[in-house]
Amino acid sequence: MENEINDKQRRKAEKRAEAEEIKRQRALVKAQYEQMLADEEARRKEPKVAPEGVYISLQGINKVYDNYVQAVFDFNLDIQEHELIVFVGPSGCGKSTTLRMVAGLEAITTGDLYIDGAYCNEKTAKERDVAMVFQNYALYPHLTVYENMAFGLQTRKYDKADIDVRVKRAAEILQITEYLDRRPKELSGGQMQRVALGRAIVREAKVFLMDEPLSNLDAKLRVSMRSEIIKLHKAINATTIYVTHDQTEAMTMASRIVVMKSGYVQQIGTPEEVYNNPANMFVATFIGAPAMNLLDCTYDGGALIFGGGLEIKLDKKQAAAHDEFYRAQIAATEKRIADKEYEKPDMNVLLTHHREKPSLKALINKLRGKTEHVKIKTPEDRLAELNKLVEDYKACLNGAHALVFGIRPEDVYENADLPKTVKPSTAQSSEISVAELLGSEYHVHFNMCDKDVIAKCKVARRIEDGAQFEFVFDLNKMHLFDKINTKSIF
Amino acid sequence: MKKLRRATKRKIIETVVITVIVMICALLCIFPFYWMILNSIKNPDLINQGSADVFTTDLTWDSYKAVFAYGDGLLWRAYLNSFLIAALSTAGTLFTSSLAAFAFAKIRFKGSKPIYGLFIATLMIPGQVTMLPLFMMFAKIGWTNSFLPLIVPGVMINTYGVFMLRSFIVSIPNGLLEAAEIDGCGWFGKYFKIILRLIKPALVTLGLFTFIGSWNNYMGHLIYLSDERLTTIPLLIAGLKETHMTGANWGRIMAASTLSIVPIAIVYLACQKYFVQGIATTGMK
Repeated sequence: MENEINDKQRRKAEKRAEAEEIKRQRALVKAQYEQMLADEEARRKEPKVAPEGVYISLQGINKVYDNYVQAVFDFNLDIQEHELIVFVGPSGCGKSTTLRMVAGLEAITTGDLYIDGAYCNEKTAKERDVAMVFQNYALYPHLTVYENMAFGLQTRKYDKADIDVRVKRAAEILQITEYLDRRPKELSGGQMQRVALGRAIVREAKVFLMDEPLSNLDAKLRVSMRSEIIKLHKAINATTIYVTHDQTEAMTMASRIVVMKSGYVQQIGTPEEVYNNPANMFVATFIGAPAMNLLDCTYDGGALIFGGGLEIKLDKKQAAAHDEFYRAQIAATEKRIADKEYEKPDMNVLLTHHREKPSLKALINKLRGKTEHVKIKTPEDRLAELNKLVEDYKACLNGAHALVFGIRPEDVYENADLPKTVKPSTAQSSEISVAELLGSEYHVHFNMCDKDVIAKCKVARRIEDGAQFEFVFDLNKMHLFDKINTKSIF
Repeated sequence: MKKLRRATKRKIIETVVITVIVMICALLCIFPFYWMILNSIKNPDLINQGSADVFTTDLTWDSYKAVFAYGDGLLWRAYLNSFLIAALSTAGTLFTSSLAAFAFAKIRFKGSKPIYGLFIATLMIPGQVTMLPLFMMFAKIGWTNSFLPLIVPGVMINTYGVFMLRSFIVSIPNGLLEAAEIDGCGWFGKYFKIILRLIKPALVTLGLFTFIGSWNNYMGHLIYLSDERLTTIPLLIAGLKETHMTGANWGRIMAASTLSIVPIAIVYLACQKYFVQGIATTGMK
């Protein structure tokens, strides 16, 4: 009985302390946001010099909404003229918000945007001279296809004859000449998307912005439109920023890919770089289909030991990369402690709390006893976490520790016929759970270390479900990821 | 087979019953108009006899001739005045209401929600409550005996109009306005080139309500207009009852009433096709 009372009192005290911490952090967030705005206001008065040799430059871009929700964190990117840059990431990662900031549809909270040498933060969408293709086409329903395409030019007071020439030329390129007199409601999805593209083309704008333009089309049409956009980009050679959540679109279209997650840039690079050297586990699994296989293993004395008994000996270069990685992590974490980063509010947790504020769903969950409680961390908690992180990294540097081994499905080979370029691991055998025939290749699923592993195999013979599959990994293509921060070691 | 025949029979009975009910309702709606038109062309002597002959053949245009001759063709002046007031009120209301509705629906500004709430709350206040204070105010600024008090307040604030148009504008996807912004439109460009075109059905409906309301605004006209030159159709119809027209001559009143609804009927029929239309947003997915 006494224990129960003590428990109740303790819980009450904990809740009270947490409520106070939330209040403190909210005040901090508010003060930080206001300071951010004040600093930015002062900074914007300073003379702005555009970086040389860059067509579009995004420098330290942050987007924080009035309710303190931060959508984009410290976005830095320089885009060369004629490049096709693809922002890719899951829903809510901030890619569309960034694009809208470039377009001028969303205000930039902090940071600088330059387009063609001009500082653009305070310019309107019209002044920036950008053309945009929207996900939902956004065609004016009361206008014909011709009028839709001519609208932007008419607004900019172009000569009638010039408008006519431009619209007809764009219609020819996009093969929509016969639909020029139709209204959007008389068009199919694919035709509407062509018109939306046409509306952008006729403008001959400095920058083309495309916000998931293919996501409303069916799979077959998407593939054909994808190649059309690539051709179009080659033909008109306009600097383009393309937003998509589809990694295939990103890989096939981009000059460079920007992978984003939760408002942060995860990696910027060419499709080859992003595919072959993913910066972290998120990029590794997001780019590539099927996704990279990730397996837990233990690193001990320069060797990776797997649950099934497989052991992979790392070469000297790889072992050195491992040590270097952890030394860098220790230095970075110690710097965070020195900078007193732990005193700053925990935005992500606070925002989760923000979203948990009164709602019918929350009330129903509470009545059903299903309330999920998000613990707000105090600065002491966070300092302790950082100290522990340093200890953990040191332990990784000095002894055996867990790691994540990554290998792409095409780098898992059936042991029967190995190409000469492959550096094989020791052969392993497992039962095939599913063999998916895709026509030109098999996706063979099997179990290893309690994880589903996929191997891409040629259709040399029929592969049956349930059969034994003897496989090796190509050690030239292996990846290692830290288990604590998911970053790539090599 | 029997079941099928029974079902068909039941369906026929249902259709007949529904048709009869709808026809009765339609007749009830049409009858006052029929009665008005009939009495306007009926021999005026027969009206005062009190017999309710629904299908009389003793017809004459005397009542219409008397109405046209009344006050040396005052009817034409009343038509002109009523049309002027109604047309200006309608045009002004449509412009200001749509502009305000656009702002409330699509422009994010601090306090927009409370201001809109307050604005809508004025719908609760009956017109009779503000009638006297408004009259005193307009008398003070010398607007009585002019059309201004009948036009300006409606143009300045039409809460119902804003409420109605806002609900239409809210349903227009923001993507269209963003596309217009990229295409080089400012707020007014978006308003004139996109919003106004897309809410045409709502504008026509509101315009018709405003026009009819203004055309039939007997109380307002009676309070503010005293000069005969400024007379309007409702005032003219009321005037026909006065003693110098030899008592309540129902034939003339009915003739004037019939003439008063002609412009409204024309406007209504012309705009009818818009009532059933929704907002066209087919360029979006």
